Amino acid sequence: MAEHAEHIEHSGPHIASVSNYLTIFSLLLILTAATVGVALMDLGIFNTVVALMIACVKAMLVILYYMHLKFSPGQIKLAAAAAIFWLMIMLVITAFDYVGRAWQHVPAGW
Amino acid sequence: MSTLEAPEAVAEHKMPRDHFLNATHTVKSWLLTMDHKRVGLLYLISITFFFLIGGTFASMIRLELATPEADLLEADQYNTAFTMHGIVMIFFFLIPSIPAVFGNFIMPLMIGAKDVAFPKLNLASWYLFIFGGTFGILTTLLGGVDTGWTFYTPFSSTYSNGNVILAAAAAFIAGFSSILTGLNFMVTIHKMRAPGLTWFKMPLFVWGMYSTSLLMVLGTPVIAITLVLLMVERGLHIGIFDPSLGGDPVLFQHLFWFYSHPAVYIMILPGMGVISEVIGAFCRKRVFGYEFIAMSSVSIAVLGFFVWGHHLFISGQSIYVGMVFSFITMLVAVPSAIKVFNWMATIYKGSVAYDAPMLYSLAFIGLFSVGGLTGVILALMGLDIHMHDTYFVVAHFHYVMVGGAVTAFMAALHFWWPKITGRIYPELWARLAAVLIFAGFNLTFFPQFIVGYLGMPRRYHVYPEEWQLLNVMSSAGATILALSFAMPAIYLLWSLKNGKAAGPNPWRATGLEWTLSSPPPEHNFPKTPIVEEDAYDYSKVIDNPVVEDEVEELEHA
Amino acid sequence: MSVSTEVAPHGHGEHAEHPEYMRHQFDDMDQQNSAASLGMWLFMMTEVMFFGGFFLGYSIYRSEYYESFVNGSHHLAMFLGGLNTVVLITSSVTMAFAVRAAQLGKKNHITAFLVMTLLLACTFMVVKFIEYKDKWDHHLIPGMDFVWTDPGDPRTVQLFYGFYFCMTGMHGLHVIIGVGLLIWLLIRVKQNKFNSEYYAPIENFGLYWHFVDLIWIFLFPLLYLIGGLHE
Repeated sequence: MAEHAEHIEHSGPHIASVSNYLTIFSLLLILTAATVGVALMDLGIFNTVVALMIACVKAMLVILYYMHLKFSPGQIKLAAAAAIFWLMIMLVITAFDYVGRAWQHVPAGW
Repeated sequence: MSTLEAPEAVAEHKMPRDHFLNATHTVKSWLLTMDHKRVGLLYLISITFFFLIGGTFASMIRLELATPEADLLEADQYNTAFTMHGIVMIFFFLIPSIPAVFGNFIMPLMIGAKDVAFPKLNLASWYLFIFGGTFGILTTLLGGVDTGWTFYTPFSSTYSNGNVILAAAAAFIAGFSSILTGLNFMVTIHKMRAPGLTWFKMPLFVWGMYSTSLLMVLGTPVIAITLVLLMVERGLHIGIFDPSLGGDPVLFQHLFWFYSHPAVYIMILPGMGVISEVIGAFCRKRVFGYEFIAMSSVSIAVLGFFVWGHHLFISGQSIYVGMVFSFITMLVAVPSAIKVFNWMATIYKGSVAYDAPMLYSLAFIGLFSVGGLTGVILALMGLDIHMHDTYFVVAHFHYVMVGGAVTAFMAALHFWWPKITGRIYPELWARLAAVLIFAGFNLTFFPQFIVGYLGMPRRYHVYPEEWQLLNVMSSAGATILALSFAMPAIYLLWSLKNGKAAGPNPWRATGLEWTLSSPPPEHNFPKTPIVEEDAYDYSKVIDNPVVEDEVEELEHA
Repeated sequence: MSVSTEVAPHGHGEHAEHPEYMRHQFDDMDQQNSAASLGMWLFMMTEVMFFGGFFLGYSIYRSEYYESFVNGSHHLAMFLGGLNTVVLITSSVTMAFAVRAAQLGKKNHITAFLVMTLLLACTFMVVKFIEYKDKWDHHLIPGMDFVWTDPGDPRTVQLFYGFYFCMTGMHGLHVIIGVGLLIWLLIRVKQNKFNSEYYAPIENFGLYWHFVDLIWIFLFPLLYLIGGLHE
């Protein structure tokens, strides 16, 4: 049998249990309720922070368990991490522009 | 004056009886092909067509600029000319060029694969390219667009009278062609290398293709969404980029350049991969610093994503982020320089042959260095404030894109022409054309450095009289350049019928692609090769076996 | 019910070296599956960057015009948005079960779960339609006779709605494409194209579908839940 360019898992795919999927489902529903609940409170700036954090937790649950990333080869994990990293490059450095405009002496107005 | 005609190679080769070109003959078998080699040829024909269109627009520009007044074109028409020149050349020629033609044709052969990972997707990529190109042609026929290829808002979104949405749609569709090609290449390189072909045994062209694919996959979606926003803004005027409605034009520039800067690395990295291959073959030496060249390709791809703000130095962007971009831009020059030094070290004490591919590669090293160094000059925020939007910038990017990428494309075309077509092109004419292209290129663009430094703005169809001499020199150079490009078109086509049969390895180069017949068989390797040696192992004698029969050829290699 | 674990038109015996679902460019099914999986994840990467551009624009303008974004968000029906969130999350779990059924070669279960996913996707689009219709009735579609009489600067509230429609619209387009792909998958399941050795298209569609869910997980709080109590 031809060797491959990279190690391919021969032990067969990981098959999740029904209860695992249902647990994740429940967690997702609870977190959705939580995010709505928090939105109805007034936490000032933290509303946004908490909302995003809850969204990130939900996203991680979907990615790790429903998309099987937890049980995927390292290469796939790297690809997923790279996608997030690249998105962050775009968001963070651009944000730095907008934040930095306020520091300049010349009024940055339109 | 040495060429690669060793005594034993003088004997005649014959064209192989069966190969990918004559395997099937119907139009349908070409238009529905899933053979990466045929897809590469479909791209070659298409991009040549677009090169002619882009070149026509360039001629209009240089004709107008031969005189200081506006005597050939009015302002709007001139704006359309340079815009269409940019859009066609960048999106429909340069970005596909080497990857879509040679990446498709040669890369799977280099790694010993039967095809790319997703052949149907590959064909779909070509159709998307053609579909996008149709929008581009439609745009041209309906009067073009006049916003500059950069589509800056709010002119493009609100005030332009050109066909902005059509042009944006053309680029949007072509972008998906690029994304799918990059995705295909990455999976192919990861998963379909022959047994024994580890990453650090791969030819450097494959490293170049991989790095380019990273850029295509991660960057192109951003221009896609940017063009969507532009089209929505143009159609509905909701204010995303229009200051009078609360929008920020600089946001457009951030989004646009986040892709378009990595795009320039998409244009140059494949070329650098080609140069590594050609220099190894024509100096008959292992490429010096192989690992450094390989890693520098990846570094350029990664670092290239952190520098886009150097296009926004005078846009109103915060000077603090400008300083960050300026610094990182200077860093990104380092891996490129590493390549140039390694190539020079390869040439040093090599057994150099000056065939056309090598002439183009030597030209590349010089011209790319000039282009790259002037890029470093522009990276300095303080200097860029004076030179932004002058001809200095125009000269800089033409040195890297034409002196670099197009030259490398010509090198690749000549190097792999025998493999693709099975024919040898006439070497004397090829060398002459290379020299004329080099001369014409420099005459066209070097004066632009000077006139740009003196202050001549870009995208203007009129200029003060004192700059006419430099502009006339530039236009004269453009004429020589245009005529010189006609030469390869003629002799390459001539060689299809009249060139000598090439045999499997006319250059006696290393690489799996040279172990197959020229043209290669339809299904590439009859048996999957097993790779044991490093790339560029020129220590052993490589021959160009004289055989009558394809099977015997493969046993020899 | 009958389960086929092997589609073996070639009749090669248990090894079935070239089953009809193996493509010629690959050496074996491991390589093919591995390539398909990597390809799909790379495509996910492109989608992240694609939607990322929208998120960038949204975040810049939200920080500039927070008040307007809050005011604009007030008109969005949090209930409908929340309902759609639950619908998509549920469709994610049914899709996950569909893939699981494929791994186990249970054709009828695959069909059942894919149908459930399809129905939930359609529900999502119906709710979306209701919301969009409401916006149309209230002149809240930017560029189409946009009128804003509630508190907030109409000029920048229009920006909020611009992003609302662009982002939910692009997301909705991806849902519609998903519906099309689900129908295609259901046809192929019916044709017995899949078995426990070959189910990559189902698995890879699952990845796509979860991604669609992921985008909505972020869209919901960012668009519907800004700024607290509203009706």
